[in-house]
Amino acid sequence: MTRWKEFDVKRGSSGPLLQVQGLEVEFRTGGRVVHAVNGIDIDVRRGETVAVLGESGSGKSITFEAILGTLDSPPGHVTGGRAEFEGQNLFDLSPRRRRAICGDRIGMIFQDPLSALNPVYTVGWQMAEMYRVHRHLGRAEARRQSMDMLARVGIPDVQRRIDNYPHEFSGGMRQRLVIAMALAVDPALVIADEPTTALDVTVEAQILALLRDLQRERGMGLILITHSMAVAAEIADRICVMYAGQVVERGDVRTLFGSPAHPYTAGLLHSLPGVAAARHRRLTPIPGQPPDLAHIPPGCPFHPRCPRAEARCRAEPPALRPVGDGQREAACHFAEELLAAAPTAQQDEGHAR
Amino acid sequence: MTPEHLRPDSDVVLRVQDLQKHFPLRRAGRHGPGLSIKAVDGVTFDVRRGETIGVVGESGCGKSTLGRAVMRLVEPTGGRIELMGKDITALSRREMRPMRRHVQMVFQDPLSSLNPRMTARQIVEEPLHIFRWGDRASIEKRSAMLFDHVGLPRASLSKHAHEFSGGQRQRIAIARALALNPSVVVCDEAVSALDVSIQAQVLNLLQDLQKELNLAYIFITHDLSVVEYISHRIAVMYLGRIVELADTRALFDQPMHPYTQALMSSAPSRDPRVLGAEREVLAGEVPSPISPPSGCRFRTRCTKAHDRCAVTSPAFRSVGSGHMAACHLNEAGDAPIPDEVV
Repeated sequence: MTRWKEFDVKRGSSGPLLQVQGLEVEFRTGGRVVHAVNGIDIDVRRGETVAVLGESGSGKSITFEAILGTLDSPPGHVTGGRAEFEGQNLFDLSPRRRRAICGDRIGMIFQDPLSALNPVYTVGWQMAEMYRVHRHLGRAEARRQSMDMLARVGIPDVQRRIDNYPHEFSGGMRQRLVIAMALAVDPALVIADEPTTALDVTVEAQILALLRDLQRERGMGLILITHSMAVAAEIADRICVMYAGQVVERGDVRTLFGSPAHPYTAGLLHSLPGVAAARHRRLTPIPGQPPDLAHIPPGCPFHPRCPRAEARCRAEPPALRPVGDGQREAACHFAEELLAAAPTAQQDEGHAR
Repeated sequence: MTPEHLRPDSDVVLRVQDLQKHFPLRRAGRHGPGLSIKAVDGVTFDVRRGETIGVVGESGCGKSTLGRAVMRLVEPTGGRIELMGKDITALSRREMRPMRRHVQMVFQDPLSSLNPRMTARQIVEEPLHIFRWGDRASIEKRSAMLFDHVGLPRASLSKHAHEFSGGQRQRIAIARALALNPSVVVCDEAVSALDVSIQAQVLNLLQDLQKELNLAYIFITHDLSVVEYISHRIAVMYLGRIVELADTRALFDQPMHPYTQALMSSAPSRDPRVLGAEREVLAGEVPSPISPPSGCRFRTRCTKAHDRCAVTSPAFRSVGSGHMAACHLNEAGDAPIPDEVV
């Protein structure tokens, strides 16, 4: 493992680890074209956690499926953009080269660990496979390293548990196992897609704490795809908010949640029952429904649901641009006004923890 | 405020006493003693007209089984259920039928609880036909009114479930549940599958309907924020039992049971604008409901457990006005030790 650590340090670039620019993905089915991702820019640096926040259909998972080459194609097609990882555009690589990078330099963690695990092999076998395939280790050494890694992610009684099958593990233990597998060969970047959504809160807290510790300990980049603002706030340094396949706002967590500059981000915050309950207020939901991605509204995609939409919003798509103190970017024509009008988190004193 | 046991009973629409549901796994015999999953193991609570009682707990705590047992969708193996003042525990299927209109249910996944071959109108009108609401004209009038109530356009009456979005499907499920003017609606994770912006719409709808129709909800969820927002009172369940029951404010301001305290401190911050609050992590996982721990069921994960907790099961007793908890620490002699929730 040390060998790879040194390798990272030598490479020692201060630039982004992963830089996605202008990514576009569409699905073509029976004469319909669904525009799932429409020009997304995301970058992650070493040692940084970026949360990609969005509701269903926002394109948050599709973005990373496209980057990792796990997109179902057809019907999915990457129609534009680049994804540079450690200096090379992943879309230029042969599928074989890309697969070698994913799994080795990029680790993946999915929502449902049971479907990411093979039910007919023991935990130990699957875990050791990572070392055998990516590190060409022998059986005994692979097993020894597997045990160390399983112990590191908090699997109790590893000696016995390593010969269990995945179904003998609880949901939380399975997620620990999948984390161990993703991090086994010390990737530079880990992409976690809703890693705690299927778990109970007490277990979610355990898993997030584990991810945070491992991320700090290894200095890797972490991308967390989530629908939960609470999870994003807890673990991320920066946040990208997605809507209708676009990034509508991104920036430092504190700035972004403290005073959102995009009406969608603000709308999400006002839809949270926890915030409303603590203030004895009624919820203010975002009216309407998310757009049909086959017919995205012209101009700003959020305008049909936006309380401050004007004629300009219906005609002219807003670009993602720096707003305020430069700590964040927002794609809204009225971002400055929204910032000026909104009370900050301090003024709006909450008694939530 | 009148102590709970002195409040007039006329308002109680549902009374559950010592309810049990054990699912048999193995009969006693050559292979050893009988085994059963004690999904619900002695639960007592009342539901009053027009109130929302939240039931919160982790997966496997028995909250969904409780919701189903109350409606007799699964047969309770012990205890007593009174609906609208009538004991329904032992009613036959036929005797139960007229009672069913008083208690209805909304499920988590509307797509699997709505018949894909029926139109929205047929789905909402089905209970009206079964209960012979009236002639065709009055049934049609009623379904149109229900659509208005739940905020669905009348034009969509003839669409099928798959043509609606998730939030709209849940509105159809709510309209169906309300068709027969029930007194109690059991909502089992009714908003858990919805995106936050849509979830907020449905939560507001449920609140509006409650005020309008004086409905009681049993709101089952794993989400503390949702339960805090919608409930008047909250029951916290752990391994088949209610460990704490209190008014929402009292429960959140001063949780008395160590499990409630742990649940709250391990939940994510309710307000993402408040940063840096590290969650306290409750170690371990929920033990098996087949052979729950002796004494207090939470003792294996409780940081405050002592010898006595392994021996005697703590009584579910009053610890304040309308505030009930089952913990030895709250009994006389020991000062209650509520964690400050700031």
